[in-house]
Amino acid sequence: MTEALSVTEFQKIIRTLSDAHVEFIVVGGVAAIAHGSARLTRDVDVVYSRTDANIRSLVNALEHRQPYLRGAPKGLPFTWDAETIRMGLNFTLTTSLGPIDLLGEVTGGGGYDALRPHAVMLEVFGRQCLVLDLPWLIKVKRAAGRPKDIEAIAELEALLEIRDSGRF
Amino acid sequence: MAKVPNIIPVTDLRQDAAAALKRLKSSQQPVVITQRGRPAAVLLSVEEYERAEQERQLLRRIARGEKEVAAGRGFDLAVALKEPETVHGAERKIPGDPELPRNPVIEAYKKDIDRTLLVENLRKTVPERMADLVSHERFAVEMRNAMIKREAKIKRKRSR
Repeated sequence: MTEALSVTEFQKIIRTLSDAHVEFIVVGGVAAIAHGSARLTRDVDVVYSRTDANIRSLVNALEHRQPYLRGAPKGLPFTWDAETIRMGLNFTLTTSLGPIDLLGEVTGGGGYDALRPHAVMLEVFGRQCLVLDLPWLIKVKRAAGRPKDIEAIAELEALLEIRDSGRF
Repeated sequence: MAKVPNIIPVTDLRQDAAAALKRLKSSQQPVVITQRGRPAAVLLSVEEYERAEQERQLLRRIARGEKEVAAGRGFDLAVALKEPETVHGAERKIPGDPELPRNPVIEAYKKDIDRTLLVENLRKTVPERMADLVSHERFAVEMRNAMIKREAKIKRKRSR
């Protein structure tokens, strides 16, 4: 039988990362919604800083949230620790709060330091968070070149046009 | 079952055009105007007309694309997305970011974007948009789970 879906705890995910002082930039669907997108998303995508201190903060933030590789068979020897994060780069995870994509780098945008100048500080679920700005969100989505993103890119570009028309 | 078409004789239209428009609005269906008992014209709302025009343009583009592909002048989707200038040639820019050239594939999709929803969202604050995300996601999960439950029930019935 298909398992029932559980609700993604967007608020808790953002607060968990933020309260643990993780340096991250919100990208993907949640960033698009922050900029006005009308599309729905189920996961939280963030680009995290790869410094040792930040990796430790990330490990601490999620260690009690059962992080595991999304789509991987059960029982793999996956250990959530700093070493695992250092050895890898991008992690698509399931957690007890919902799906989280932790990205060390994104195609067309690079890592945290490269994206930082193109992020804006917004209040997301009661926390001040860095969110990738709209032109760069479009840029990285375009660079990813995934057919499934075409509609989303079209919507983001329409948003940019409306915003730049001076009405908002 | 097919819907019964909305029909108005041209004489009725002449006598009371406002009523015909009211009927068009309330039924949200095209109204067929008949003359001497035969269909002579179709009355459409502006929204319906614009939607049909957009669809026609999109179909025309698709047909043109198919012709180009058949003539060996097509482009791979991945190329079209990553290198729009290869496909489009012209360097039209997107407002707000001079580094983003327009992409013909995305432009075709953009025509169908409901901008009224976007304008509505832009009027909201970021926390309000986030609150919407939470409630919409809860609703979507609720609906999906209701469907899963229903499918399981049907399977159980069949297996008996």
